[in-house]
Amino acid sequence: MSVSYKAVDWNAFKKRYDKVLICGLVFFFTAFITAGILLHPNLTIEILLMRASALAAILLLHLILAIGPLARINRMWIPLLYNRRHLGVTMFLLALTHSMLAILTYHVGGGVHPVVSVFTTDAGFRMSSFPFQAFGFAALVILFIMAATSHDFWLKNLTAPVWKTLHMGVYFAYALLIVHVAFGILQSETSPVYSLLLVSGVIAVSGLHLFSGWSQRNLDNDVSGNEENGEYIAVCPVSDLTENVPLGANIGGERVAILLYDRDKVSCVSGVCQHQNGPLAEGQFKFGCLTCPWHGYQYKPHDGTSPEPFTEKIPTFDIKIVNGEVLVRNRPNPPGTPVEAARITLN
Amino acid sequence: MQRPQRILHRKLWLILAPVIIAVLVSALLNRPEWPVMKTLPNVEFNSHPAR
Repeated sequence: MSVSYKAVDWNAFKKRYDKVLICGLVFFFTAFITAGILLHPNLTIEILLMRASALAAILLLHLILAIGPLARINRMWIPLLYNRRHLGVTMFLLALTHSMLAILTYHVGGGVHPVVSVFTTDAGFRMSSFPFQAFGFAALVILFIMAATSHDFWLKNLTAPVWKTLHMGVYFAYALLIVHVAFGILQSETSPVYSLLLVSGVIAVSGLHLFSGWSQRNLDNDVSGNEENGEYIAVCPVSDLTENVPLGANIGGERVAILLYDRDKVSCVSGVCQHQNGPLAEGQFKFGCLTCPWHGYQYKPHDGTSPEPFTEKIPTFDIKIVNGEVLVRNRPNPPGTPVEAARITLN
Repeated sequence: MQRPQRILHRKLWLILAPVIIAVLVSALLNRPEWPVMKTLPNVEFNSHPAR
């Protein structure tokens, strides 16, 4: 967490995650190049490496884009989300390898600067001369910005909302890469397998994002209706609460997590984690703290602060119980403000 | 994600998804003929044995 600066805050899970990633890539490159040498003996090792890095990068990008919505749909995908930034940086390095090999193979040695050549080799809008390389270059620039700012240092300095918005650039990079691939290699590829793979990938990623957005839209319906700011709003009956299981709601336009704990206490805090805006209402209550399902950041339910020595804070909400209904004030308290927990009547 | 970003995310994908799919389909429909198609018999030519 955020207590001190480290290049990478390694733990056993992250190490295992990265080992699996590296072993997977080594296996993929070995299999791809061996098959390439056997099936296409006329291709050079540079071309095979260029294609292997490109295919690995685009496959990894599809996986990265699918993890978010999959984790919202089914919790079994959450472990993959934990270290997604390492996947992102690896994907950028693969894309960089591909582009370097392409520039060295096709653009060095002419009278024009290699980078200028990327933009001038294909500069028409007929299929045969579509400037697909320029699209790939633009995507690489976006991916570089994202890889360079993927560290928690930038997340903390830019703040989670700005960082998250900046990193939505991956969607534009994805669109540019689809143009790059569709108007590039797929125009000359003789096997329809790659086209079918790409069409399936695009449909899967788009479908997952559309479905996850659609399925989550109810959580953005504000239950506070036309009540004035600062009023108590009836959120749910007490019977809807399960001990140690947070319940999500939307109050005053923002998600909150309501938690029944210590048998009879009920508290309400922001449902948005300070680290990467993870969904706290989908987290667990562990060691007396509400725990974010994405990276394990923890907050005490009565004051929204992280346990020592960590310093994160989230807003709290005033809460009371009247006639078996949970009422929450539709105005958040400043982050870290202690709020007395409401108490339910035990039978 | 906070609410503005969730809404931005939904709007982005409502626009991006059809655009990406349209671009991909148009690129594939306009690409040179697949080699496998060239090797298929001309159905009209071979359909009548008397020809």
